[in-house]
Amino acid sequence: MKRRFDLPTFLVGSAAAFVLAFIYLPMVVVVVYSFNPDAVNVFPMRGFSLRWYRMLLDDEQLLAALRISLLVALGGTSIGLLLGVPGAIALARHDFPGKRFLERIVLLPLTLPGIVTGVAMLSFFPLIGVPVSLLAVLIGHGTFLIAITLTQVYARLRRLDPSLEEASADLGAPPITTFFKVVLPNIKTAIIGSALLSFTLSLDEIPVTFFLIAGDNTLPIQIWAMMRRGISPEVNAISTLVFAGSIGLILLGTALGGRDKE
Amino acid sequence: MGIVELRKVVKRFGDVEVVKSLDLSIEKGEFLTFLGPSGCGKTTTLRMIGGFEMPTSGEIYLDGREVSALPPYKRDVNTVFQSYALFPHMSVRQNVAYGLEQKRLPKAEIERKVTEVLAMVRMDTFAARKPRELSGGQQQRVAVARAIVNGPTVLLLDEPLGALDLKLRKEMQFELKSLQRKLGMTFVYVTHDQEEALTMSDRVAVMNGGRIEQIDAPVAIYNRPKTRFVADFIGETNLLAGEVHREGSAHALSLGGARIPIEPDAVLESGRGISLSVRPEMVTVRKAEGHESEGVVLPGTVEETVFVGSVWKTVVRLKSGERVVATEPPATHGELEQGTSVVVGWNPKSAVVLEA
Repeated sequence: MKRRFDLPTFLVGSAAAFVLAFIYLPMVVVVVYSFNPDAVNVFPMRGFSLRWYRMLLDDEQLLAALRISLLVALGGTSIGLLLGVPGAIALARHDFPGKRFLERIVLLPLTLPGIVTGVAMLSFFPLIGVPVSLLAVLIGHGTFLIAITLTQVYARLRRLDPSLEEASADLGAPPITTFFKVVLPNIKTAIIGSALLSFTLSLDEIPVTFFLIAGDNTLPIQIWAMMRRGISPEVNAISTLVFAGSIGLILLGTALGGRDKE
Repeated sequence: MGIVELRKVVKRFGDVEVVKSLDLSIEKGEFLTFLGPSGCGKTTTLRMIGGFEMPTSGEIYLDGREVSALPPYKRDVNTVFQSYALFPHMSVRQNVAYGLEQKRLPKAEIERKVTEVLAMVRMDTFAARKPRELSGGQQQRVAVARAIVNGPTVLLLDEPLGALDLKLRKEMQFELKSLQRKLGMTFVYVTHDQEEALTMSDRVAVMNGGRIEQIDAPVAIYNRPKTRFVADFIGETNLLAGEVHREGSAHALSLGGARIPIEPDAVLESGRGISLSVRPEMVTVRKAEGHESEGVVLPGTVEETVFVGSVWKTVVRLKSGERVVATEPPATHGELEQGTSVVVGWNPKSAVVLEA
């Protein structure tokens, strides 16, 4: 049977295609140009080259920035997990004064414009004796990453039957055992998922970092600094690598999340 | 002293007193059921025995030891939860072994006990499955196995059959009861299903508004209810409210113009307000032609007759205005048409006199 032309399906399909193109075409351009043998971004290209990737490996400043970024992302994510997971458990399983208020404001660091958070921290940190430095950046990232872990793990805990924990206690397990043998296995994927998300968010964060950084640039700031000298093909190369890394993390995240829903 | 003792136990949530000064002694090996409507405090009472709620005041003793302030993991009781609460990330075997592992028993012994108890609940072939791969009834059996494998002093069951369909529920009632007999274990059961309570229990504690209204054997609960609430909540009943009329040792209930002979346990003064509870199966309905028999005879008209399979159910409006429901075997009479003049009657011994 010949398929009939269906206008609504056609319109929805086209809209989806446009949205995807809108999001990914610029990325594709960057990836393609990263293999451009020439220093000028023109199409068609005269060939295929890894020249800019080689150059990248020799760029000490860029590599240092990458190392700092990874360090900050790792540290920030750790802070987010260490404070976010207990916070989520407190919110989901215990009653305390101000709980409702905390539930409301915990997302604030995520929803506020980064520039506001940045300015706020810039004026606050010196008051508590934290100078503008890598430490300040780390604390800054940790602050908004707590919100990620907390909300993700909290949502999972809300769906976890509290009588599981009661059953564990009933069967003779003290609270610590219950946490490690019953709660943790059931919120594991939420924790891993929020860790991956935190990591990627931290990796490309600019506004908060910009206000708190002293000398050592993170990768996005370094790239931004390089851009002031024009779009270098080297930037295309590093962007492609970061893009690939992010895709990898996302795939890992979905794979782990999917296994959870078996 | 019973294996479980509750002394003046009170539980308050905020301003609401959910359990009001409860005294109770549960015997070793007994099957005791808390029965009542939702919000009567039955689950809260069970949860206090299990250690999931702490009493606001009063004491709880388990096997002679005060446990009022002890957390669940320090009490020798196990619970079968309404939602089963099986650990979703563990297999059936791991679920059942969990409690024994907490007691740090040797591996071989855990293995042996788990195998044994899984065979007992006929789940041995499912040992490697995850809970989500099991049906409701199977999950229920695993939940029971996980609790009894620890050999608790008392097994608590919180509406364990509530999520099952009717047929499976009846089967599981039977299985649980025979399991309890076989193990000789003390079962404390919570349900709002009166039939379940009557068929399974040695004693039923009927709860209402945070108090035990009556605690008795099922037969006594049904035949000799002590309060209006118990009479009304357990089974179907006709409740007739009126005043006592006494002549010497003979008592009667004045209802409209009629005098219904009653046989209270004690002497009652004339003019006192009481309720009379008569079970529908104790009531007979006859056409009003001629045959006036002994005992209670009240005139009325048929409002409705329904065939319910095993019985005819007849609703009669008495001359005095009350409705009386009678259930009789089909052989007694055919369908009585609406508006038929009838007399209803019962043996005064089968009616229970209650406080108004």
